[in-house]
Amino acid sequence: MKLLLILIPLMLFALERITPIPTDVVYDAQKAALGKALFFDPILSVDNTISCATCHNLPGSGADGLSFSFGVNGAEGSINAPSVLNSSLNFVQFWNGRAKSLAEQALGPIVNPIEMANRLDNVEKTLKSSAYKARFEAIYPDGVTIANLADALAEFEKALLTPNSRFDRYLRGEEDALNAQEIRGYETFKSIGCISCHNGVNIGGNMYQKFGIFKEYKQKKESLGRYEITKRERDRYVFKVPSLRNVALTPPYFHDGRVNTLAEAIFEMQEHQLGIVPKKEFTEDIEAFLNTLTGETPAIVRD
Amino acid sequence: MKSYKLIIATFILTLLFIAYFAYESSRFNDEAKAYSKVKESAYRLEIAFSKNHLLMNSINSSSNNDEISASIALVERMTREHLELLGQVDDTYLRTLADSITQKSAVLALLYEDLKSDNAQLQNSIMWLSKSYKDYLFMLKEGKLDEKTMSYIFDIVNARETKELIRIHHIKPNEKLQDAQVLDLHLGLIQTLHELINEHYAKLLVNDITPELKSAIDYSSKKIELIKSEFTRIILLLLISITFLVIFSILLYSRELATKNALKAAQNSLQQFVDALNESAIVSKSDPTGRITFVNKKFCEISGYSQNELIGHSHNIIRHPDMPKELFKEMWDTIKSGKHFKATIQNMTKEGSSYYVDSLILPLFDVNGEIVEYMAVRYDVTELILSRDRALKAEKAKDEFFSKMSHELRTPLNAINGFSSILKRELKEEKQQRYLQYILDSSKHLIELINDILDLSKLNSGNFKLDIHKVDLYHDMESLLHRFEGNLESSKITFHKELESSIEVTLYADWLRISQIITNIISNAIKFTPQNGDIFFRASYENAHLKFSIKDSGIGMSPDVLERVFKPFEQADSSTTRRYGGTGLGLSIVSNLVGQMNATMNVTSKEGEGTLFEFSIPLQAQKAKPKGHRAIERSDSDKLFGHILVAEDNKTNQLLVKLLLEEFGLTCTIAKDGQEALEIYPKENFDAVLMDENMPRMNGIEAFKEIRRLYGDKTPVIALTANVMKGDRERFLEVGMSGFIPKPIDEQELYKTLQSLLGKH
Repeated sequence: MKLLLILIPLMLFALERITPIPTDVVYDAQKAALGKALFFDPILSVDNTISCATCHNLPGSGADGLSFSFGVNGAEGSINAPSVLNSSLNFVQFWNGRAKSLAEQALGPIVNPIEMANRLDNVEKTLKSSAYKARFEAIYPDGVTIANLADALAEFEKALLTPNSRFDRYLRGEEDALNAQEIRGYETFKSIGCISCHNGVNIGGNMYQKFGIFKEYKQKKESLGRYEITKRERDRYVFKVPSLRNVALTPPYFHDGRVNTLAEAIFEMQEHQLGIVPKKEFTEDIEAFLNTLTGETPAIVRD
Repeated sequence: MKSYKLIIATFILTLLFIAYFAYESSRFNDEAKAYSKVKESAYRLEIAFSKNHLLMNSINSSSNNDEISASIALVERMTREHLELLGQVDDTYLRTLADSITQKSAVLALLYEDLKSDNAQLQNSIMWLSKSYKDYLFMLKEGKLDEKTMSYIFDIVNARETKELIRIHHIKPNEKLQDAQVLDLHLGLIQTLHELINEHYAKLLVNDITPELKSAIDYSSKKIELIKSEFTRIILLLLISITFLVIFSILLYSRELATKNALKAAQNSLQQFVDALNESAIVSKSDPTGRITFVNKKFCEISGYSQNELIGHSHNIIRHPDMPKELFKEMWDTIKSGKHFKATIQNMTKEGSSYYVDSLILPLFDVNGEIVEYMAVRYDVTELILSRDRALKAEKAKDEFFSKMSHELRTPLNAINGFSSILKRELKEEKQQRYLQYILDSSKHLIELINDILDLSKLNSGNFKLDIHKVDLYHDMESLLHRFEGNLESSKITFHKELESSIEVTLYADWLRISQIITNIISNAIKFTPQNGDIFFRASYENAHLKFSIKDSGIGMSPDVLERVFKPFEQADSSTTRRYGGTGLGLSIVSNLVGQMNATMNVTSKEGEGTLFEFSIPLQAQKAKPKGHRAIERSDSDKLFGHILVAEDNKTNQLLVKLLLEEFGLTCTIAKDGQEALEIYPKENFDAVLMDENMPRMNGIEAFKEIRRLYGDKTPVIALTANVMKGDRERFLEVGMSGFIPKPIDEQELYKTLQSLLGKH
């Protein structure tokens, strides 16, 4: 009988292709604290104007609400900034997946000429002549290094999980955590095929997919997606499937930030990706469902 | 020293071997560890890889991409680690495998993502078909959809795994159908995707890295086995080396021990020698400058100095002032040249008394042959030296005693003999004559006895020296033999004399001693040969040897008697003395004289038949000088003429000499001592002087010297003395005296001497 009680929830989870965000996250508090300080400090940019947090608002959506972010001297980026929330749950980083890890990703924007526009040796020099030197040395035997900088930032980002969304509570068995429309939206999400790509703990972020399977997608700004990395023809316009966690907080949507509302995004997805005739009730129900995916602000940025 | 070096070299070499083997073994250990790491990681990667492929192969609509992504990430991470490990091992084959895995992994990474993406699209379309399934069933009922399409949709929707779609043949839907375009799109997509996915699966198989992993595992296993066997070999060698080292050490130790023991034994035995030396001898050592560095107990005991008083000082501290400086100079010269020096040295104790030591001083050398010190080993011979001195003193005293005794005995005998002779001539009565003859014989025997004892004592004392003079051999032999004629006649013995012409030579010899030998043997022969017997005498000079033999037909001797007769006072038996008289010293003296002259004597005798004595005396001839046979004869009528000065203190002797000289036909004046002789001498015209030696006021030699000094060398002076010990005769002749007559005065000898000096008349 006991065995049955244990087995039933397990089977339920097993059947679900979406899993809740773990409520506990293990990270090195000291490193994460250093990472947090660096995250908010414009010291990493070449002119001391841009910090990570400039484009990744915290506490908040972990993104900037713009289609394209602005870098140093008002330079405009070419791709929509994704949220840093739950980014540790993604299988790769960046839209085209060019970073395998958070640490790898963390250095990207620093040297991007239209983002922080800095040089790594310069960053190291700057940090060594700053108050961070002592903090690094307190944690890392080799003090300030680029690898340690990336490590600290990644450790901070590991802490940026948003558990206990209403949907996660529903998944954990709180049936009244969602209302009828939201449940219907989830069912539709699954039945019309969204779940094919948006699955797993991050509801996305675990595969690449072509944007525009059934209908060509007109981009606001041309991005070749994964092609830029692999140079394979079949990877043209292939992007990392984005996570739908906290999706309600992160407009505008898509890699080019072309649509501003969830409804528009859901609509476009149906026609471009699912190959179905978009339906209003589908859109409304799915929007209601997606709104239940907003989790708690991570403890590390709450104060 | 050389072998010690060799030992150290071997030891170090072995240690190096051990170090090398230890290093090798640790290297092998590292290598083996690296290979086993490769093996282990290959195993784990193979499992992860297989699991991942299983996951990939069973990918379907219900797949959780998180699980797949995690699996891919795991495989990729493990692959990366594995490649790192492969890179760490310096192995060409593993590098080839690594290259292959790297290549395949790059392809696989894309394939995995493609599979995920394509599968998602496929699932999406299948889901759409499933959702639209009811609608299509209605359409089928209404006849809007043909059955073929419916069954196609059915097959797709009911396909459990993507792979099952392979069998489904693609058809195009009826164009009349509502949203046929959408259905067609989906069906076309499904068709395209499942072909793509199948291609992916094919590629997945082609790029399977399992063969590489298996190869890595097999290869590593083999390598590990190889290393293990190599390792075992090294360990074995290491063990052998260590064993060798241990055995070597033990051998070394035991050798050392044996050497130590041998050294100890040698030291012990040396110590025993040293102890024995210290017990018996006086030992000291000094540095090359002569300062004492060591003295033993005996040294301290005998010298009376303590060790502290001696060490650091020169040996001069014990030097006796009587020792000549030259001796020490000679000693230093000898020992400095590395030789031993031996001498008997008189030393002085601390109290000033002397002691004698037989010293052996020898230099001690270091390994380079340099003299580092000197050692002196001495034996106390003080007692020996003192007793020798005492013995010498006693010997001298004895000689003096004999000299005195013979003088004291001869003087009265001289008188007895002389006066008996005179009486015998004056008294004509036969009985008186006979008694006087007894007195004469007895006194003669007594003189002989004294002479013999003196001779023997001289010979035995070792002070005897031959008195070599020019000898006219034939003449002297004749005159010697002539003496026996009387005796031979009275004993009625026929004397056969055979003197070869070869003895007519002049040579140098101690004729007195030779004649003593002849006299002794002939006297014995006469004594032991019965009446009417024969005595044969034969003499020759050949090969620088005087050879003579005396043969008698006497009683002879048995072999054991022959052995004894050369000992003093031995005759054939004690009764012999009683029967034949004699001192029993004759043969002993003969044997001694023969020895002194390096001559040989041969005796053959047979009891009852007689005895043969053969002599051979080495004598150097001066030159051959033929001489006519000249007989010396004297009769009472052979008177001498001359006036003689007689210096003699003894009244009896004055009278005796006067009587004898008058008998010879001479006249004389008596001086009672040297002084008086010196006064009388120039007053009268003397033809000769008879000078006694021992006289009061002025002795004979002094008087002689004065006479010669005052009046020149013109009158012969004859010494007349009882000083007949060895050297006396020489003493007189040396100072220039013309003759020597021992006391008691032999009448014949006096006559002969005077006759030769006074010349023919």
